[in-house]
Amino acid sequence: MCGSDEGIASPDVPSREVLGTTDSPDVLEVLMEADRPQEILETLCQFADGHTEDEKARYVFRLICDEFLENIASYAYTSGNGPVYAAADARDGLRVILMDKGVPFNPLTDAKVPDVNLPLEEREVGGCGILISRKFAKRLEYRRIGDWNVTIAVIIEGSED
Amino acid sequence: MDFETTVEGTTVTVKASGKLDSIGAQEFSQATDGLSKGMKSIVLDFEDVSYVSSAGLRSVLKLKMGSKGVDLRIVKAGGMTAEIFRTAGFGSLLKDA
Repeated sequence: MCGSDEGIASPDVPSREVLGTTDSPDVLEVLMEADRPQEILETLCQFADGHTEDEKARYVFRLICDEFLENIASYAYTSGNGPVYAAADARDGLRVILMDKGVPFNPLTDAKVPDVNLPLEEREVGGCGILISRKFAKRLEYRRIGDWNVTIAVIIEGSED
Repeated sequence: MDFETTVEGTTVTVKASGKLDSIGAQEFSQATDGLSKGMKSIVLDFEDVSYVSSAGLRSVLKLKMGSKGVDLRIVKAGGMTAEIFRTAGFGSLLKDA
């Protein structure tokens, strides 16, 4: 699943230099079709579980990957399927990069967040994913690089965070 | 997920185990469909629910909305799972909170 020094084996994935990753046993890169979110999720979580003993960090890692991968699978590609690139980086702390080539979407500004103060009977179904991702990630970042939506989540802060 | 359902009078208790993720949420909705009929309270025992995502929250919210007039409670939810319910504004359902 890992590519060359220039990045994973796809011509238009941003380079490792741009993404801040590298060829290392502590970095896992995955490139799959978006309609396989569970497969991507389990691959990433298996890697994270092997790199941290912190049960809460494992839970949060799964939660954030799950939320973003399900959103990509459901909404990113309005006409069919498309690629998802994911990189889990455990060299210093733990972070994950999730990318798709779907419609431009900044989850930090474009997502509708529910009013948690409303009685449950008056709540709309949906919107909780970004809410809980924001709450439990140490940091969330969004970039648009070329045709890619790039979301970066820091789960365990490293020395430079 | 696995579900064990017990009825005592007008209280139905569902003991769930596994991950309440997108797949688990579908199973939860199937397991709780029509559950509130003739009941005054629904107790969801989440002691063995190891994980909940927003899909799981949605499935609980749908059960709540479809159970008007029925008291719905979640009991024994673990640390992070309970924290997720509280963060999403579902804290009123947590009996142990």
